[in-house]
Order: sequence, then structure tokens, then C-alpha cells
Amino acid sequence: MKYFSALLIAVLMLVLFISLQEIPLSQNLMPVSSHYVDSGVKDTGATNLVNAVLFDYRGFDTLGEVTVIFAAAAAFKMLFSHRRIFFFRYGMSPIVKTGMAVYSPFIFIFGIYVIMAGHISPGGGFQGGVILASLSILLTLVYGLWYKVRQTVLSPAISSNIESMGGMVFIFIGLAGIFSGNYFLSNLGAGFFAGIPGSMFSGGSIPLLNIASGLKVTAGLSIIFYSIAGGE
Amino acid sequence: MKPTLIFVLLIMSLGLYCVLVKDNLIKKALGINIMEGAVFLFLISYGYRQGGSPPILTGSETNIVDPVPQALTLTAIVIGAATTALMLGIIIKIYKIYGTLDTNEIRRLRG
Amino acid sequence: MNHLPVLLIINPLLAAFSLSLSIPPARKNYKIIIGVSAVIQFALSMAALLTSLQQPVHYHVGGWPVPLGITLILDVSSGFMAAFTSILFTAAVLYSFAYIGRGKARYYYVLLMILWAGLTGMVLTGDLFNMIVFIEIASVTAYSLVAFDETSFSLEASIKYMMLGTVGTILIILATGIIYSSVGSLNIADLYNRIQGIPEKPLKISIALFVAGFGVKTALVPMHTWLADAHSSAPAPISAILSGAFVKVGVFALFKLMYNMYGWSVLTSLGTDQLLINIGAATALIGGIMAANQADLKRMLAYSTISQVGLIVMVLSLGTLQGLTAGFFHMFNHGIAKGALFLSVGSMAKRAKTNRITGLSGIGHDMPLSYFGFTVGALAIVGIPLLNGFMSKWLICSNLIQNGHTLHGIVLIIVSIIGAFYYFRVLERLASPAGPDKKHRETSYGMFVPVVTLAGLCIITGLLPYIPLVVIERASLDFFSYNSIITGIIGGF
Repeated sequence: MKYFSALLIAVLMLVLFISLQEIPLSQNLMPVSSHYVDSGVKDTGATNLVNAVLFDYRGFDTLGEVTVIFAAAAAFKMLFSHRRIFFFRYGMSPIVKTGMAVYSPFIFIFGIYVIMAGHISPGGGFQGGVILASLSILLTLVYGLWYKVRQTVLSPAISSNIESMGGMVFIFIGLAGIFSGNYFLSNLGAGFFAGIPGSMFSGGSIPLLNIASGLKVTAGLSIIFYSIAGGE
Repeated sequence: MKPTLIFVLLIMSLGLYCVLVKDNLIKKALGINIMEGAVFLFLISYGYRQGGSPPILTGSETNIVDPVPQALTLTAIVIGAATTALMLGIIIKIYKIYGTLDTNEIRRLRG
Repeated sequence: MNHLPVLLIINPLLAAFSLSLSIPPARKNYKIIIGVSAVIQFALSMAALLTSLQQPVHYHVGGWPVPLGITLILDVSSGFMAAFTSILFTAAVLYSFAYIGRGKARYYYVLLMILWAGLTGMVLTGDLFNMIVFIEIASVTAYSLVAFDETSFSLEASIKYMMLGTVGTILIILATGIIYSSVGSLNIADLYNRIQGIPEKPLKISIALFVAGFGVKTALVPMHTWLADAHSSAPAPISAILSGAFVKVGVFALFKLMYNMYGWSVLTSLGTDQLLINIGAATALIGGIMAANQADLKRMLAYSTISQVGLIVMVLSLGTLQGLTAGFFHMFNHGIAKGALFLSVGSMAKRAKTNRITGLSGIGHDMPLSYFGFTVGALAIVGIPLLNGFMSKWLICSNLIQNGHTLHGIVLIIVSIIGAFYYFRVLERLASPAGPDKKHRETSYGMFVPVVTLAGLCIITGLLPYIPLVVIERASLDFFSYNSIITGIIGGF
């Protein structure tokens, strides 16, 4: 069985190798991408082109991606709803706890910076959201699950609310485009504030969408972790 | 032809080997994750332009890398992570019921 | 401008997001929220179908013209598929109110709404990567809903489905990567104009990867091994939706790419249409043969789905307008009939607490309404005249023989005979007089309305097939001439 699979894989890879060699390589950008590069800043107001493509030109894909995380979190809440599994009951040693107490504000600020400056420097909603979620998981690992469960600020109910509100804010920003007479998820066409490209307050609706998706990713990944670790 | 194509196919064959041959469920799930990584490498490497700079315009570039595959890969990475998380969650529940992660045992227990 | 296409996708998403809030009104009144949202969605999709019959709607999300942004296309074919999906989903939601107990029902409805949005998005979109995102939305929710019961069988079915399905998505993403790296555009209509820019070998590989990837999602042979377990261990309304709508939307998406992105002439020159017809025939035969061997009623219905999807793939790969009409008509008929079958089996199996055919013997006497739904659905799929399945199977067979594929027409007749065998066997067993240890199983209440409605729809479509056929002929015309409609809109890029 092993050798048969290895042989099959070798044959498949050989076929792929021979045929994928012929994909034409060009030095200039493709027609669509050259338009993005030429007039991306003028159209959207953001200088980070990847963020502009992700949240303005192809914003509908981002809505779908946000929905996938939401669906995964909802599936975890559905499957792990019995409060029986309890890992990470107690935290680690005091050395680790003290060190973590020094580090965590910096990680927090860094995560918020990556979310909010997504339209002018590399980053964006998803990257920053993952950083904040990993901060939350790190706090649980270091300080123990009882500490997190008894919290009132980041309890699971509030995480679900943050997640739902993030998604609804995303859709409402899109609906603002409809109410102003343009299409769904319009950016500058719907009258959002454009500003000077390169400054913090620019890009129209892109920073708002960054924040909404960042909150949603944070809450979603935290819910996935807590469902397995503590149940709720 | 791009040199990265060899690496893409190498990584994909490693992932496919894990999914087909290994018996442990978690190793199969990780094999799927490795295969996804190979596809992302393929997408991004074919978006590179020789001597290009990152697609962040500060007003002084002439040659910029293609931004669209990077956006597609970001979306696909997030979707792949969500699917892998779901897979691992269900594997945990299977472990709770069966007590083992060996696919031969699970197929035999079902009976 | 008409905002219907995006409203069709946003409405279930808003319902799902608002349902998962942790506030007390969401926890107690989730049925009201879901009911209102389902009714709104049903009305919106019917309105979308009527609007598309007058004039197709091209919706540019974000206001960006064609190659730059994502477009949603609402023509008669996507309007028809959206309306057909909504019929099944509304019936399933109504059925779920009585079938799913309390407890974690709130998240079940959240995932159901997201599945609805995902399937509608898969049908409406005109962009290749957007289709992949919606496929993933629908698939992730389908994986988790299969595992809803949390029994050992359903968890194993879910993990098998998940692994195969994710590999399928990886193949589709790889094919998209090949196309984008060669040509540089992601819009389906725009790619039709640029497909000449791809050299021959990557083109063949991309077609093969698409067929393999979508084949996993729609259970074509040899990637069909997950469907029997998954559809038989899911809760009954989910089996109805997955068998009735999900695989059909997958087939629709695959052939949308084949017809409207590559163009059928390219496929004929590469020999892909022969490959697809043979895959369809093999799927139909294997599905039929495996269905005859089952002792579990839901597994038998799942294998029957595989064989009917094989028939649909056979007739859609002919490449003619009449073939498209026959294929869409059979999608509609089979979807409604399979929905009625799975829902009625769900209520019967819930009362009798078993899924095996032998355990359900005699239940027809105690539950006449559910048995009526089951009978109508079974006869429709077998192809008895006066019901809708007869008309669509006749159209499929005549199209196959007219285009020279007599052997495949014979395959259809063989599959129908095998189908008659295993369906009649079950019908007789269910109606047989009960044994000496007869327990009083009363008719299920609240669950028979969707079953009877779907069965009634089968009968109406069978007696008056011209009402849906008019819509379906317009749908296949729009599907076939997609590119000539779109080319008038692109212009200048």
C-alpha cells in the first residue's frame, strides 16, 4: 500500500511538473494588476495595495472569509457545549507569569497597531486579529483557565457578542454603500472620507473594515480555543 | 520555468503522502495542511516580478510585485486555518469516543 | 439599480450573525428570527426569479467594472437555481422546527442560514475566486452539520467528508492559480475572452483539476465514497438539503465553468466531453448497484442520489441546449423528490427509532401522511408517468440517443430498472401488515406539512410540466448564451 501510493504520487507530480513548466512568465504585470498598481491609490485612498485589493476591490471575498471563521466558531460552540474537558487548570510558574505581565501590553499594542495601520503599512485586519487572539491564548496558557473563566471583561458571552457585532458592522458598512445610491461595499463612491493617502485617516471605509474584521477574527479564534479547552 | 515549481511539487507530494499513507488521524489532518501550504507557495511565487518591490506605494517604486495573488492567498490561508481547526476539533471528539486515533481501529470498531 | 443579488446573500448572513448574539431575546426567540428570515429569503428569491425573467441583473459589488471587481450575475439560470434552493431550504427550516430538539438548536440554525447564504452565493457569483470562497462557506457548514448528532457514526462520516472535501478544494485552488498565473484575470466572463492565452498543457491540467475538485464535492466516481456515510448520518433535514441542493449546485457550478469559461468547443477538441459522459455513466451505474445492496434506508437514498447525479452529469455534458434543459429539469425534479423522501424517512425513522428497512416494516399504516410523501417521492424518482421524474428521464434518454450516445441511453434504462427494484421493495415492506409485536406509532405532527407540500409539488410538476419547463428553457438559454450577454457589458478592457 505504501509503495503503491508513493508510485502514484510520483507519477502525478511528474505529470504536473512537465505541464506546469509551460506557464508563460512575463515581466510586466497582468492587465488587471497593472490597473491596480497605476490607479489603486487614486481609487481607494489606501497605499497598501494588498489591503486595497482585499477590502475594496474584492471586498466580497473578505466578507465570505469572515463568514468562514464565524461558521467554524459556531460549529465549535455547537459541538463542544458540554463543560467536561478542562485543560490548563492552573498556570505556569511565577517566573513565566511575571515575564508575561511585562510582555503582554506590548503584544496588545502591536496587535492594535497592525489592525489600525493596515492601509498604510503591511498588515490589516486578519494579521492583527491573529496577533490579538494569540495574546488571549497565551494569557490562558500562562495564567490558567480559572483566571480567564472568572473574568468579566473577556467572558465567552462577550466574545460571542464581539464576534457577531464585527460581522454585522461589516455588513452595515456595505449597506451604507447601498443607502447612498451606489453599489454594496462601495468605498469612495459611497462618500466615505478619503483623506490624504499615506496618513492614518485615509482610505475611506478600509480602516473601518479592518477594525471590524480584526475584532471578528480575534473573537472567533478565541472562541475556538475556549470551546476545546474549557467548554461553555 | 520557475525554480520554485520543484519545491511546490515536493511539498505537495509530502503532504499527499501523509494523507494517503499515515494511519494517525492527526497526521492526516496535518498532511492536508501541508498540501495547502504548497498551493499557497505556488500562487505567490508566480506573482513575483524580477527585482520588484512590495506592493506598498510610497511614491518611489518603478517595479511592483503583483498584489492580487497575495490577497487571494491571505483569504485562502484563513479559510484553510478554519477548516484545519474544525478537523482537529472533530478528531478530539472522535478520540473521546473511540479512545484511539488509529484509522484501522476506528474502521474496525464501527462494524 | 436592482440590489436583489446581494440582498439574497446578505439576508441569511445577517440572520445568522444576529442569532448568535448572547442576549436573552436571541436565546429565547430564535425560532421567530429564523422563521421571519426564511420567509423573507423565500420571497426575495421568488422576486429574483421574476426579475431575471424580465431582464438579467449584473451587479458590480463595490462599483468596480468587470475585470477589476466582483460581479454577481442574476440571469434566469441562477435565479432558477436560487429559487429551487429556497424551496428546499424553507421546507427544511419548517421541518427542523419540529425535528430538532432544544439544547444546541440555536447554533444549528446559525449554520443552516450560513449554508443557505453559501449555496446562493455559489450560484449567483460571476468570479472564479469568489466561487471558491462560497464553496468553502457551504462546505464548512456542511461538515459541521453532518456531525450534529455527535454519535460515533456521524463523527466518522464527518471527518471522512471533511478530509476528502478539503483535498477537493485544494485542487480547485490549484487550478485557479494556474489560470491566474497564465492569464491574469479572475472574472468568468472575462476569462472566456482570454482563454486562448493559456498554452495547451496547463489548460488540460486545469480542466482535469477542476473536474477532480468539483467531482469530490458532487460525489462523482471515483470520489463518491464519502456521500453514503455523510448523508445517512446527518439529521434528516440536513440530508434533504445536502442531497437535494448541495450536489446540484456543485454540478451547476462545474458546468458553468465548463460552458462559460472554457467554451464548449475547447472542451470538445480536448476530449473532455467524452470523459465527463463516461464519468456520469459510471457514477449512475455504481450508485444504482450499491443502492440495491443496502439494508439501511437512508444509505439507500444516498446511493440513489449518487446515481441520479450521474444521470444529470451525463446529459449536461452533451453540450446542446436541449441537453441543458433536460439536465436542469432533472435537477429540479430530483431535488424536490429527494427532499420529500428524506424528510418523510426522517419522521418515520424518528418514530420507529431505527433506520433499517426491516425495522420500519408496517409503518405505512400508522403514518399515512408521511408514507404518502415517501410514495410520491419514490415513484417520481423511478420515473412513473404522471409524476415529474418520468418527463425529465424521458428527456434525458431522448437527448442521449439523439446525440449518438445510444450506449449511455441504455445505461439510463438499466439504472431506472434497478431503481424500480429497490424502491418498490421498500414501498412494499413499508406497507406490509405489521408483525405481532406491533407498537402504536402515531402520525407525526408539524413535520408532515413540508413533506406533503413537496410531494404535492412533485404531482403538480408531473401533471403540468410546462409551467417549470418554460422557466427552465429560458434558464438554459441564458446559461448557454452567457458570454454573448456579458460581452456587451465588458467592453474596452
